[in-house]
Amino acid sequence: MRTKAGIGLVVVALFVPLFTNEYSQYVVNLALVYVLVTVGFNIAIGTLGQLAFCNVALFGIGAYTTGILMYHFHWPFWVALVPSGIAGAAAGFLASVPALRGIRALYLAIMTLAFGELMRWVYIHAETVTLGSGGMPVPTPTFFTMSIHSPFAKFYVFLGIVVLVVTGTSNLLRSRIGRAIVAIKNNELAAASLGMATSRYIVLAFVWSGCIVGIAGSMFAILIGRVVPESFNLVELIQHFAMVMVGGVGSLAGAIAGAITLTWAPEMFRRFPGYEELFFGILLVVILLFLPRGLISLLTRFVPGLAERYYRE
Amino acid sequence: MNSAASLLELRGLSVHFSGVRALADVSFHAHAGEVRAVIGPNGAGKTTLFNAITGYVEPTAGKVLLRGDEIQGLSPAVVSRRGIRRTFQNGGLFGDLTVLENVLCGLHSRIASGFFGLLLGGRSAARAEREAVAKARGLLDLMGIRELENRVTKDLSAGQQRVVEITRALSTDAPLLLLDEPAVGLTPSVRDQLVDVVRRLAGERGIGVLLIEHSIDMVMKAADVIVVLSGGQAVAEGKPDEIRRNKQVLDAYLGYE
Repeated sequence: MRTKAGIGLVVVALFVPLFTNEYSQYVVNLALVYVLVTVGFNIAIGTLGQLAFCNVALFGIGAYTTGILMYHFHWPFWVALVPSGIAGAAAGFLASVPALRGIRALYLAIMTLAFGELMRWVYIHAETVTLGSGGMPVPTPTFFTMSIHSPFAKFYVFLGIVVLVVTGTSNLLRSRIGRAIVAIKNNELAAASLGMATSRYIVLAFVWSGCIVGIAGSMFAILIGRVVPESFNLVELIQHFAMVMVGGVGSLAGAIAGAITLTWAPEMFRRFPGYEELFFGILLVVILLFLPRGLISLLTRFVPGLAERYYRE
Repeated sequence: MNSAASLLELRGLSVHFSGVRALADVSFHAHAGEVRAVIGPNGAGKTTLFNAITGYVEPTAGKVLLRGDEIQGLSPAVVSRRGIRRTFQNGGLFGDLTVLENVLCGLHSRIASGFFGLLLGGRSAARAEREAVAKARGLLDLMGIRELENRVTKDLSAGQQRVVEITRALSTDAPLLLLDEPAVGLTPSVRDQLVDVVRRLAGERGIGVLLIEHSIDMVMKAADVIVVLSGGQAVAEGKPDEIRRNKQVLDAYLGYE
């Protein structure tokens, strides 16, 4: 049922460009970037349940890796995408080290938060590489000889990446790996008593999360066409966090729903200039007040078959 | 004692916590098909004993032998894979997972599927997962809890949770099972069912069971042999009737019940 729902969603998505203009297509593309941002973030804070607040660091590292490789070294986007994922994964690995050493909960939160701010300092001050606070222009990506400049072309590229990453993530979650990560969140001692190498799965969750968010950063770089330090500040982190919360912590489908909802909502509120932030805040409060388990809980209440499980038939 | 036939042997096992002697020179043999209860007052070292056997606490001195192989100092995960499974005093279920998923967690180290196989949806990884699901369902049938398969375990009653935890611990056919106060919070009738389960595991499947239990009633019904711990030392060992008549035990422990 979940697989069918997923395929149906992708088929519908294929026709989205028929109904958009350049701007609204840009917003849809941005939503796809945030889908991966949220899916990756959710693995660390939802599935594994660790307060790892370095998501913006991972996002920025992915974006800058692509920016640097395309701007300085003229790599094509396709080739830069892979090292961006690897750089995100490496940063995720770094973030897992304090968690392995027993620094958890709020201590981990503040430490990883500092990591994000530190990276922003690096973007601003490593001017020869990052071009500093003015940002770095990202050349128009090409697919072999074809330019993918238009938002419609980018959409299909992004959709392909998102489908691959989400499918892979879903495969992992619905296996011994997904179960081990949830088991460690629920009861680490008991997980070890069943033969699970708990440290290895904690690292794996952080690395996988970092890889996905790094890929999202790479997409973000070519979507915006410019990588700027200010894109990776604390407000951005709160945005990521809100997407996970609104969608439903610990749910893959929830992460997707949260990312789409909170990318789309501000566009709706643009009609009320001066009140955008107010409406956005009210929306968050209302959703979290009435649906503390997120939007996904609304969906699974009516269609129990959509509830995510950690095995497959 | 015939050490060749013993499943688990403790030789002078001691655990000190920064000067405090939690376990002092405990030695015994546990056998396949035997239910061996470990009783004693609070602080006697019962859970420390379990923790030392299963790798959660490193012994200060002494040896733990599983079928003659030394296993002291190994990590909990490795001890588990060697064949010792345990449950936890406050319940060790994964509350967000269903009954089936919890039992699948028990089979974790038996599922031969690697990261990339799973990521890419490879056929052999998928087959390994499917086989594990079939095996887990078989276990649920065996324990008579198949109808709970899709229930999230945090929503189950205390009795159901205990049975699921034992089922999960048994999933790999581990020869030795350590149960840490499995009857806490259970009604007497559920407790009797649990006694049946434990007796069947030992009798029909030849599993060696170490059982920590405060309920003397359950211990008398379930155990073949009782070891009495007091102040970290094994002060008596014998059949339930012998222990019941043992003056030293009555003074040290049962007298205060």
